[in-house]
Amino acid sequence: MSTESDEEFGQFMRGRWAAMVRLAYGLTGDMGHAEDVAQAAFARAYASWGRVRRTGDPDAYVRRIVINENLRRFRKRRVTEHLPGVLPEPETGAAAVQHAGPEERSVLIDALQALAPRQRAVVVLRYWLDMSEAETAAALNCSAGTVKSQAARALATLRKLTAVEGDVR
Amino acid sequence: MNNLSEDLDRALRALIPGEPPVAEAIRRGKAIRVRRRAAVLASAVAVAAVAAAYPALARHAAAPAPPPAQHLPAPHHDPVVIAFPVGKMGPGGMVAQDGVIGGGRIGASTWQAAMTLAPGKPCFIATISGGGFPAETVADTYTTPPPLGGRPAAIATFSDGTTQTALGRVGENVAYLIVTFRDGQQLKLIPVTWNGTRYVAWLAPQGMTVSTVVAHLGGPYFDSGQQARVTPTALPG
Repeated sequence: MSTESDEEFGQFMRGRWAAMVRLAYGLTGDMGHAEDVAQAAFARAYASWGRVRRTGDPDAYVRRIVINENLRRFRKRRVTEHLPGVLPEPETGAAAVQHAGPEERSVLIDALQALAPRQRAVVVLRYWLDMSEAETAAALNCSAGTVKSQAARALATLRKLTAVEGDVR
Repeated sequence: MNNLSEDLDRALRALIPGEPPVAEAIRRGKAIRVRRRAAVLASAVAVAAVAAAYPALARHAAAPAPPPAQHLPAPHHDPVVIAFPVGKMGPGGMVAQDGVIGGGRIGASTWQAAMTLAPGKPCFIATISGGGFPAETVADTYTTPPPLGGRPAAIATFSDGTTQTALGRVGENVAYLIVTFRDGQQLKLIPVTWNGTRYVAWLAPQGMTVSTVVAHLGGPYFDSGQQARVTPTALPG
């Protein structure tokens, strides 16, 4: 790939890095995994950059890879994944999620992390990316009915966990 | 759910990731391209070896299928989609070598479809290369077609937005499948056994719509003359 293409890819990645990490974080609930997933997605986009660029929507391409990559990792760790049932302790140190403001870690983010992986993915795709039930089902390789039931359970959990805030409606 | 959407947006936007690792992504991307090229080269060598070892089979399989009775529009010639015979002959039909279950061309590009265990679970990988484009993976999924349930074949199709990929699970009573695209182009696919299951696979540009998929029944190396229509199912890849 030419230096010009590398530069173009670099500009694209610098512009979309934060958004993809946020998406990956919403899906994985782990900042370390989120940055790994986002970096893997951009690497795959680079490997096919000529064609990705020609699609006219490289953002959608990378977003799709992030979702798929998260599903792949979810499948690999499904055996050991469990629902903690209580909110995790806030992270500390360099790997901790940073916030723009001085406020404490978002209650909603903590509640998201307490969801089962598929429920978390449903919430992020449906309510953050604003995907339809059908689009979410296609992205997660499940039925629209599963999306609906997982969303209902996830919202019930979020309501419970964020009750002090009362901001999940 | 506007409030949840807004709260999520606010919460996630408050996350400030570190600097984008552009150089590392480029380094990993280049490594992916090298691996893909190596895989395509290995499959091309394997396909050439099979064709050389079984010239009669190659001629038979590569021959265009007889045109169906209905009137189809004249085939377009750009792009021409071709499927090569792959695998080696076995008593129960063709057997995959190195997991390769399909191969062919789209115009000047070469495609390859393969199954692998990753880890311990069947994974379908399709790559395309050449034609002025770098080698790339167009499908990489654990999603495989459902059990046959008495049907001659079950076919799942995937799309990455520019290329459609199909993976089919095929019954023991199928000799081959004929895929006809709406523009009249056809593929003849001979099932290849991998890990105890017979598969077919093909790749085509996104814009080429499949008109029909017909299973020619009989068995490995035997066409009884009976046919059955198969309906592909679109799945996320």
